[in-house]
Amino acid sequence: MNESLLQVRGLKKYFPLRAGMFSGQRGQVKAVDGVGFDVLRGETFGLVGESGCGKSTVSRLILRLCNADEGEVIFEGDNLLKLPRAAMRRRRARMQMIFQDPFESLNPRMTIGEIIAAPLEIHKTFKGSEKEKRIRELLELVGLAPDYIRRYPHEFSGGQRQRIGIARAIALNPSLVICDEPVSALDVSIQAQILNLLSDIQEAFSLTYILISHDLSVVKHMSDRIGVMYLGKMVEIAGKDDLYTDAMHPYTQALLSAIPEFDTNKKKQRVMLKGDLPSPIDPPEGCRFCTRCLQAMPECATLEPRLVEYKKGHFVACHLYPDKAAGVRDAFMRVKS
Amino acid sequence: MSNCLLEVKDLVTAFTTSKGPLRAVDGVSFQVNSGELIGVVGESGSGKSLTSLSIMGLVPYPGKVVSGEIFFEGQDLLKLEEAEMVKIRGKNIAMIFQDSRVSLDPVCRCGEQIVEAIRTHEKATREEARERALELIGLVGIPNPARCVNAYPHELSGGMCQRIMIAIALSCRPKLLIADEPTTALDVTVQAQILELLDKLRHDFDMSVILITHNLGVVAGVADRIAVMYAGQIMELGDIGEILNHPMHPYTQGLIKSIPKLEVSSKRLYSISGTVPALDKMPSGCRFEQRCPEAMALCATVLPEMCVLSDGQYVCCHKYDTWRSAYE
Repeated sequence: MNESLLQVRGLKKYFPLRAGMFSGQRGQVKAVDGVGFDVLRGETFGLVGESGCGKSTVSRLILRLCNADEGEVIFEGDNLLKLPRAAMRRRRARMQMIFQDPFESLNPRMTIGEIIAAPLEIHKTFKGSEKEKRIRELLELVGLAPDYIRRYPHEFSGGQRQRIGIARAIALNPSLVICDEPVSALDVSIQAQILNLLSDIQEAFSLTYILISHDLSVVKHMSDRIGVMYLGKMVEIAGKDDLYTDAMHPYTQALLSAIPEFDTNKKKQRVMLKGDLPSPIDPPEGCRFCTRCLQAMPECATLEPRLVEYKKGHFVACHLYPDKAAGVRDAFMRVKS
Repeated sequence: MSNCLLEVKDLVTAFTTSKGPLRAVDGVSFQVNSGELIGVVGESGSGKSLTSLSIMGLVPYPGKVVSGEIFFEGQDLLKLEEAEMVKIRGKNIAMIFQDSRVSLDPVCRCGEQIVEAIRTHEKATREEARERALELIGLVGIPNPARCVNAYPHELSGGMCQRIMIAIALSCRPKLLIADEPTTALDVTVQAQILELLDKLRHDFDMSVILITHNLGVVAGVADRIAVMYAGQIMELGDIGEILNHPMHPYTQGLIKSIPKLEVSSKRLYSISGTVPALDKMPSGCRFEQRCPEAMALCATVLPEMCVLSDGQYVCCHKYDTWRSAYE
C-alpha cells in the first residue's frame, strides 16, 4: 500500500512565446517549474490550484502528451521521459486519463462501441466477439445499458457521456488514472453519481487516481493526499485531514477560506486575497506568492522557498516555516569555512 | 414584505419548435423586495436564466413569453412597447452575464463601454461620463482606475473583466441587478472577492439583486432568500437559512445531501438517481416524480401547487397538501 507508484521529480515545462512567425523567441511561459511529488499505490492524490497554475500541464507531462523540458517521471520503476516511443506506447495502457468536457472528449462520429473499442484495438488485447463482450461488460460496469453499444454520443446526457469516458479509461485495466476535472462540467445532482462511480471503480480494480480539480470540496471528498499548486510550483503537500484542519501555506489558507460556506449559521472569517494571479510569463522573483501574500516578509521577494517536509508527510514551501535542513547545512558550511 | 420591487406572476416562456411549444419556464411566480438579494438556484435546463431573460425582455427567438405578468414598480413590463422597455433596460434593471470576456466588446476600451452605457440613458457630456466611469471603476475595486479606463478587455484578467461588467451595470444606478452566474467562470479566490463586492454594492446603492447560480454554496453566504428551480418550475422558495437547514422538498433535500461537505467525511455521497427529463417529455404530474424517492401515486398524474408552509416559505410538493389545508 505504501509503495509509490509514481514519482515526479523536478518536472519543468516552459512554453516558448513568439511574437510572430519569423521573429525569435520573445519569452517563455513557465507553466510548470520544478514540481515534485509521489503518488502511492491505491491512493487518490488530489491536485488543486487556480486556473493557470499548471495542474493540467503536469498531468499531460506525466502521460507524455507533451514533452517535459526537465525532470523525471518514474512510473512502475521506469523513467517515462526517457523511454523510447514504442515502449512508451505500451506503457500508456497502464495509465489512462478522464477528461473534463464529456461533450468534446468523445468523437461524435463514432459509436459508443467504437469509442470504447479504440484502446482495445490499439493495444490488441481483445479481438472479435471477445472484444464486444468486453465492451458490454464495461458499459454495465459504469452503469449504462450494454445495448447502447451502437448509439452515438449525441444521444447521451453529460453524466452518461462522462460514464462512457470512464469506461474507455478503464478498458485496458490501467493502474493509474488521471482524472482532469471529471465533474466540473456536470450538474450537482449528476456530480455525486459520477464521484460515487469513480470510488466504486477504484475499489473494484484497486486503481490509483490523480484527481485534478478546482473544487476543494470535491477534492477533499475523494482524495487521501492533496498537493496545492500556485503558478507552476507546488506550495504544499499534505494528507487530506492535515491540509484542511492545519493548512500551513498562506495561499492554502486563503484558498480554503474562499470556499463558499454552505452553513449560513457560521460566518467564517475570510482570508481575502487581493488581486489576481500574476502572469506566468514574468512570475515574481523569490516566492511566487509574495505579491498577494498577507504575511510576506522582505526575504520573500528575493529568496525562493524550497518545499520541505515540516511535519511527517506535510510538505510546505514558505519562509514562515524555517527550512530546518537548510539551517543545518548553513551552520555546517559556516563551521567548514 | 411591504415594498415589493418586482413581482413575477405565473410566467410561462416557451420555445416554438416542430414538436410544438416547449415550456422551458412554466408557471413561475416570485417577488423581489427592495434591497434584498434573492438567489435563484437550479441545474442547467431548469429555466433560471430564461426567467431572468424574460424579465429583461431579451428572450431569444424562437422563445416567447406566452403568459404571465411581470410587475416592476407597479408597471407590467410585458405590456410595454419595445421603445419604453429600452429605457428601463440598463437603467432601472441591469444585468451581468456569466462570461464577462464574451460580453464585453473586445475592440472598445473599457472606459468607453461605461461611458456608452451612461450616455445612452442620461444627458451627460463625454467628460462628465468619463469622470463617472473613472469613479465607478474605482468603486468596483480595481486598483489602478486611470490605467484601466484605457485598457482593452483582453488586457484584463477574468475577475477584472467581471468588475468592469459590474461597473457598466451600476453606471445608471439600477434598482434591480440581475447577475446570471457571475462567478462561474472565475477561480475560488476571485469568486469570493466578486461575491463580497456584490454584497457591499447592493447596500451602498440600495438595490435589489437576483443572483442566479447552480452552486448552493455561492448563495448561502450572501442571499436573503432563495428560489430552487427544477425543470422550469420553482420547487421551493423562502428564507435561505430555513431552506438550507430544513429543506422541505425532496429535490432540495437530495441536492443538499449530494454536495460534498468539508466538515463531514463519508465514503459515499448521496446521489439523486436519473436525469432531468427532456422538455418534450415532461410528465403531466410533478416534474420531479421520476427521480423522487418519496413519490406517491398522486405525483405521477397531478401537478402539485405551490403551498404556503409558514410565513414566506413556499414548497411545491404533494407531501405537504395536508399542511396547506391546515394553514388555510
